[in-house]
Amino acid sequence: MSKGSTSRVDFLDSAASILGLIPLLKGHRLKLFLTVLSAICSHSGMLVSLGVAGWLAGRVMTGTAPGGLFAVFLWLAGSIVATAAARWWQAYISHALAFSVIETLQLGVYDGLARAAPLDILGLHTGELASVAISDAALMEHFYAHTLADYCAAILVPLMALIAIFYVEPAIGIGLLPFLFFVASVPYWFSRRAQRQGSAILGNLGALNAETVEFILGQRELIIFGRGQDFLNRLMRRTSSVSAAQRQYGARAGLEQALIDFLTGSSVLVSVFIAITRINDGNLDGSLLPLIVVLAGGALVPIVEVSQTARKLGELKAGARRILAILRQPSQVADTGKASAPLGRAIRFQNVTFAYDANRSEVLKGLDLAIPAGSLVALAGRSGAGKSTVMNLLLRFRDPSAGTISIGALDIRDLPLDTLRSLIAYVPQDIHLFNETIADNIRLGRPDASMADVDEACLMAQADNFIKALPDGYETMCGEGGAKLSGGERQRLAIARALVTKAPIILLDEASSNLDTESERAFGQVVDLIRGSRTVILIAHRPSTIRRADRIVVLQDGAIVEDGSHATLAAQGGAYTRLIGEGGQPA
Amino acid sequence: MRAQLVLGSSGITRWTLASVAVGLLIVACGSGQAMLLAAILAEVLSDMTATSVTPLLLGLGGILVVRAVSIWLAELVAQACAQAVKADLRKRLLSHLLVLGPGVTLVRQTGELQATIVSGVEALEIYYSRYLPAVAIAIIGCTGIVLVIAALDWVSALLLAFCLLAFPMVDEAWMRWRMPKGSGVFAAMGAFAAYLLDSLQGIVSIKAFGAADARRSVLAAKATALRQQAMTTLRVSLLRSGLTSFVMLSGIGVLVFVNALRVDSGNLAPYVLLVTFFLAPEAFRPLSRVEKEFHTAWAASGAIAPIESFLALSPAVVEPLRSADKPSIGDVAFADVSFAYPQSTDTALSSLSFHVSEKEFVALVGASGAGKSTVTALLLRFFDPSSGRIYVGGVDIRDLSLKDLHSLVSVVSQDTFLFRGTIADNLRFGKPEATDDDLCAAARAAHIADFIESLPQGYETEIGERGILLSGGQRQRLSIARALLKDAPILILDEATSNVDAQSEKAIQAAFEAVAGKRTMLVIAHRLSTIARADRILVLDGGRLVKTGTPAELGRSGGAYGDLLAAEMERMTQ
Repeated sequence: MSKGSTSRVDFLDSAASILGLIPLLKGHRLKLFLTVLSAICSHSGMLVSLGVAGWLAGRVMTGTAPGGLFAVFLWLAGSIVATAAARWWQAYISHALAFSVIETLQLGVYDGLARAAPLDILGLHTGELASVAISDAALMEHFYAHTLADYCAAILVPLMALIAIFYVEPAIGIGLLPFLFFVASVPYWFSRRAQRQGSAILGNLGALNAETVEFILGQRELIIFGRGQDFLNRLMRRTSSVSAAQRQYGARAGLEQALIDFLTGSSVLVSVFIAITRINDGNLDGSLLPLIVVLAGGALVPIVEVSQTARKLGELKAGARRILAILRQPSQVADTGKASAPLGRAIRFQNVTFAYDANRSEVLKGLDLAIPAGSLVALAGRSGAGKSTVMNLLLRFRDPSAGTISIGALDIRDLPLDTLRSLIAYVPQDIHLFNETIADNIRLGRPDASMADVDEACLMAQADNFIKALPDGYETMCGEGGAKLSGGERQRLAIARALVTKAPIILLDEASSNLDTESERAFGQVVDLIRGSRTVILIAHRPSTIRRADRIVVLQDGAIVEDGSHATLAAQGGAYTRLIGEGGQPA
Repeated sequence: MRAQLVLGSSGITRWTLASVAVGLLIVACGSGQAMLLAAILAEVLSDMTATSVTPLLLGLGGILVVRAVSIWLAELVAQACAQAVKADLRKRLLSHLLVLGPGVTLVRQTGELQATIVSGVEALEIYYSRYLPAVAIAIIGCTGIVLVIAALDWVSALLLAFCLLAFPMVDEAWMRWRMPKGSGVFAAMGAFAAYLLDSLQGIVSIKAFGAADARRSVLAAKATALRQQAMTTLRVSLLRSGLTSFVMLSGIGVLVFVNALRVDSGNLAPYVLLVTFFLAPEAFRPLSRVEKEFHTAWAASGAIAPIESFLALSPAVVEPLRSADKPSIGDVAFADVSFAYPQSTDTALSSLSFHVSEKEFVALVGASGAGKSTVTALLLRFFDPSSGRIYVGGVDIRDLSLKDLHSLVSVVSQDTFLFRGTIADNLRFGKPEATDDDLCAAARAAHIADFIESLPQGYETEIGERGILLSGGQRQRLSIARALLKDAPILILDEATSNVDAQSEKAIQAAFEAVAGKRTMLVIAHRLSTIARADRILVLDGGRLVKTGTPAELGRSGGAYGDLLAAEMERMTQ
């Protein structure tokens, strides 16, 4: 009992989240309506064409052929042509709708992520969320463009057929009614099992994927240690667990199909049985029998077609939720500033407090930090100490909950976002290179930069040597299938990208992962090259990098615990010494 | 599409044939149903009493049950076929991967290999378990139905046969004509999705550099252009679904109308009119299924080429026909070895000759690209030299079985790979039969035992994917312990360049000292402290041996080693 009622709640719940997207499709209502209409036309056209044929057969067989056979031919031909046309129309209009919907959804996802970045949505990092969101958008597109119309047709067309049958012979209509419900609900009876089996397949496939990657990447070790065959057997065992899961899924799906087929066939059998009884009683015109058979056989077809998609409701629900969450992302900051860029470059955090949301603890607690123009400051501390938050707030990805941040004595909230961000160049820890040429990647913040500017920036970032060694030089495509750049090379490109903007303030978030010695040295040289001419804030992990700074600010739990030069702090033997003593463990 | 890829295997052929047999049974049931229904209606309409149709109604019910069971069976058989195909194909791909060895990542990217082995195989299965049987069922089933009708009335049979042939021909012709254009649209959609994904993944950079609005306009313009281009193409392409339904419906319509005229003029038995009417849709059903499966099969056909080209790759090295006995001493000699990596014109090693005596500790130094790692790859026979020979214990390594060769050498590489599982699993990797005491001893020698024992779960701690839960230094010490446990006479160690904490560095040095003098050691060294401890140093530059000598000798001579020393000193004083 309780199981049944929860499933009903689930169903209403999924309906609510799926239909929640409808307001977002405002601009596409006409196309949506036409798509539904075309689906109804094509399904009912099929039924009408076969019905006309059935009626004609019945009349001819009982010796009561209609007078104008030519008129019947026209009816038949007309309905066939109309059905074929409706099919094409449905295919066309639903694709037109699909393209419009996906356009809206994809741009909406872009806008939502642009508002939220770099913060997590639904516990997913923006990078991870990106691919999820794209497949969710495709899922929604498919639902609105195709499934929804088929659902409407599956409700309306059988009802119309039932009404027609009821009109011919009420008893048959009543006899068919339960079949309508049974056929529609078969997949629903199995939906829980289907979901469980579906996730078992996905889980096993995911494991197979992970183990295959291990097999490929760890091949050297497998061969050296003579374990290749063992691991191959392990992968084959994994393949057979995927198979077992798929077999179970298939057995259930096959059972569903068999049941639906049996019910559809039985509905015809029952109709024929009732019709024969009524004909024998003299209550029904025998010539209508073929028509009844055709209508009874065709009435359930639209339901059968959609019933297979019913089990995807769970997936749809989850997708709709994620998309809604993204589309409803509020703007993190209000871009209302009107001031022009300040002349001063000194950065000042005054009593800045910040929590990512009200339920989470504060990441910064009353931070006071003044960074004079042209200085090189390193932020050090364990992960979670608040180092990245300082950068996020300075870039105004978020606003502090209390306190102010100023550049050249001007509150950064008084600056338009574009102006603020043109003052700051950012080298993030996770560097993303777009699948474009190296030159275009460097020009991200300054699309009009000349080749000479790009060249100069690369020279400073120590990136020119490896770029020029590439066969296509600056025109080499980065990203997938393009240049296979090492972590150090990517970092140098990101630095060039920052330098080319000529922004007076540079935020450097050093990569914590392994860099080769050469890249590490190059990074140090860049820092030395730009110090003095720009204000540099550095999040450093490596002791060798931290030591380069004029001043080291050690953060712990959102507050500054130590502040001074390397020599001073090292002599103190406090938090800084402990941090360095850990040997620059990735923080 | 080519069937020979897996159809050689008899198990799969059997399942495919079973699939066809069950499919034909379903077609037969559908036809039986249609004929019984026609018979019942004909009887009722010719004024017989209802009682005489009761056996027919019961028969109809019986067929319904048989048909339902067959549908279930069909799915089970299709699944069994699919699993057989996957097991067969995946085993071949994985075995081939093992034969190809680690060099394969030079010609195929990891992601590409993974896609071939996992999703490629999953996609291809559909071709064997669904598409091929569907084609066979359509050909045999449709012929059968036409023959049954021909036995009753050859005119109807001809009419139906004509429409049945027209259906795939229209479909095929349409696909031939429109497919290239349709594929263009799919490619454009894929390109747009990739652009969007790229933009979303780089959204933080886009935002930080104030490029969000510009990027959005490009996205919007691309989306609009894609929609317009796609709809222009699709307007015509999509006519196909209208055309095929037109062929099917008009086939049925013409059949019914012509036969109705013939019944009306008394030239045809009413029963035949009904039989043809009810059988015709059954004849089109297998065709629609082929049409539907064709789409999935078409999508899968993209997987065939990469699988075939992967299977066609030949391994970089071959096992000797008759392998020599495993040598008893562990010295290593390179004699005039030259080598260039596949798909590269630059020589990685040129005429390299050196000798490492048994139990000697030799450091290999040089800038990146000098050929240090290539020495390891060749010694392990991941590749064969283009010229020259390599000897272990006086035996040319090409005469040794790969298994024997690998059992002689232990390797700790810089980017060492640890497998998901517990610490103990990883340690036992090279010696599955090792006892717990062996594990502890190896861990102690690698100075990782204290760390492991401090963990709540000790040796049973899970280290996560690629050992992600450990620091770089811990990973390297663990891989040293793993290599020590293997107990091979030759140890190759590729020292990590950076980011190893002080404690790990100390531990690694201690491990060197423990091993030095007990095994032949070839260390690709980056650290002065390591280099200083070596018996002998080989300095490589551009694939050539430029200098060799003891640390003391080289320290006096300056040159390449001097440069390296200077760089190292700079690094250490920073």
